[in-house]
Amino acid sequence: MTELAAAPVRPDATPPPSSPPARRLTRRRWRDSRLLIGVLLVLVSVVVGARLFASADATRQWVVARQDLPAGHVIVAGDLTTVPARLDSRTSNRYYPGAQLGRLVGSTLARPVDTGELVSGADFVRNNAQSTRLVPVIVKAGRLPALTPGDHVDVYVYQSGAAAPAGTGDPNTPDQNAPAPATGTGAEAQVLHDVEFVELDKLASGDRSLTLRVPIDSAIQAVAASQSERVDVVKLEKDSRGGVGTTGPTLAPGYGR
Amino acid sequence: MSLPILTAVTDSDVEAGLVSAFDRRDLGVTVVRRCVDLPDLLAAATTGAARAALLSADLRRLDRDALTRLAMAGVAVVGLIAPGDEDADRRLRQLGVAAVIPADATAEVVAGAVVEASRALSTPAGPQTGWGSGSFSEALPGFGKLAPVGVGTDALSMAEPGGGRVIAVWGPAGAPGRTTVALCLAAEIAALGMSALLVDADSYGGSVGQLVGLLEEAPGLAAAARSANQGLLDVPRLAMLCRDLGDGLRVLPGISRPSRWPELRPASIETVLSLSRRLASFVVVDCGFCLETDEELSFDTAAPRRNGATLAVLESADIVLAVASAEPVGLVRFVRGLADLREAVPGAEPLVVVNRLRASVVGGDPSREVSRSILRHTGTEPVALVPFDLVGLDAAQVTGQLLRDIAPTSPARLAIRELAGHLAGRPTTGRRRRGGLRRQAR
Repeated sequence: MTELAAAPVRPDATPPPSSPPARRLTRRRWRDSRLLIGVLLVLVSVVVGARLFASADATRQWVVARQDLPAGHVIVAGDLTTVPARLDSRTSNRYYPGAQLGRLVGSTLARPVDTGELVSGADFVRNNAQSTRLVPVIVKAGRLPALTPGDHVDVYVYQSGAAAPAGTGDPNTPDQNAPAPATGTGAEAQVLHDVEFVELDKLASGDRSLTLRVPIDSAIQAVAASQSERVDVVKLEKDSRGGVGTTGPTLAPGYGR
Repeated sequence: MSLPILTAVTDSDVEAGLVSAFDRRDLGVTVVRRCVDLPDLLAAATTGAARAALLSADLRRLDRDALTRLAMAGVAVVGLIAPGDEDADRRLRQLGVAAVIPADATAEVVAGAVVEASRALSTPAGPQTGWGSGSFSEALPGFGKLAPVGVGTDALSMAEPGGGRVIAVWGPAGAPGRTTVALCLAAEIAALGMSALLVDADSYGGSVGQLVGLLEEAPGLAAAARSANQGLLDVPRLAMLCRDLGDGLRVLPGISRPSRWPELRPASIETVLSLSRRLASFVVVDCGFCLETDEELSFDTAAPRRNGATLAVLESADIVLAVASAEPVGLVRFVRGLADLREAVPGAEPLVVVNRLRASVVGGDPSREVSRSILRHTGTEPVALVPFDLVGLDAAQVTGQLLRDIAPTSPARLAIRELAGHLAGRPTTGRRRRGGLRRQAR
């Protein structure tokens, strides 16, 4: 390689005049303002969108059953959970919001609750309610109307060999239009009035087993009725004022055996 | 013997007074023709009837080109200015006229200056009659040696060269990488802490502006040459035409289209380079490739010279770098071109820079092979072997940035930095260039 002599450079006494700076292509860096603005736009839109969705979300937490719970079950902490749901104002006042989950522990269920079912105030036994008994009553198929838990029913039983009064239950007022008395030897008697229907089970024989909530005093009559082979269940329908009316005649001559 | 002179003085009273004074007394000069304008003066000068001309500074269309033609005809020039007109004095001196006399000087002083100027023109080498020998500013030889007469001499830009050194980067046809080497060299010199100016004097289409990512079409060298031709170029104006890339590096972009080559007049290029020396410590000039001077075969008169700018740069340069491309075709072109260069510019001692060095086209150890080949065919060893870093150079070109900024560890950059250190007198140390070169070459 040829050796080059060092080139002497004479320093200038005065600095040379400056030149205008060149307008050049800028070097692309990742910190490009366009990239930063783009990322900022995305972030802002995500935040704004999330806030918008959050504000539009009207769901609240509601108490539901974690598993199938039978009637009379005493609630423990693991039985209930909460789910988000949107209920309108007319419906929401019937159910427990999630914040009240802890308050329900220790309460007793008045009716069976399925998995995932919203828990309402009517599902629990009221504190001031009297003690009741749940009594199964066997009814043949076709001798009961379609029932849903919570319906109130009357229960009639055919008592063979019982002396039946003629006409109405009131012997002092003869009924001209009354049909001719039956010639059977038994009587149809009302044994339970206005009791709550709780649950319905189908038996292998085709009969139905109704679980009824009955006062303590009537429990024995319900058990007795269940022993009868001829039980009729009548559903009570409420009138305009919410009442179910009086009992009506409680005894009539029977037509059966 | 009385000296025959021409006059082209715009102030007719002054001219008439001088002519009558020269007639009345024997002052050693005889007015052979009073010219009405510059074309008249040039026509009279080409007849060879006169050996000196006395002209006004405000003569219409007086430029360096005209003064060059007067000098070609062997006519010395003495400028006449209005007393106290410093602008005219400065302009004449920037055009290269050293003998400037105020119009109120006595006829004896004027005659003495004319005789002295004529003697200075003829004494050193006689009038130039051919192209290619000597500098293009030989149009005005001897003027710089003339003791200035008249107003202030502080603005002598031509007579006193600046401190900067001019490095011409030349290479044969075939794109061996002249502009790449020139650009990287200027950038590395600037990185060494010295001011550098890169001038794009490629008369076949400059590309420096694009390579450094200039967004504007700067007038650059063409405007500087135009100003120099009109005698209006000075260092501040040249600085304004340059563009500052920062860190002590400036560029003077060239012509973007080859068809504009007539704008790069050789004499003006010399003026530009002379002023550039005062603008930067190192002036790196990117030349055209062609050295042919066919004009003297085609024209009897002074024709524009297609490669005059290239030859002017090579004549003016303190250091000439000859760039060779390392492939066989490029090397053959280089060997032949270098012979042409030595013939066209006898005073230059070109330093050989081998560019685009890679093993794939040379084989073996490319550095050794190419150095040996260059030495055998040109008698000189390369001063630098620049590896072919296609990736780094492409990245620099795409982004319009300097290679040193895009790929600081590029082997091509390291080789040119070492060359810059040698040229600038600040050798870089601690670099194992050969190892990197070999790695890159493979």
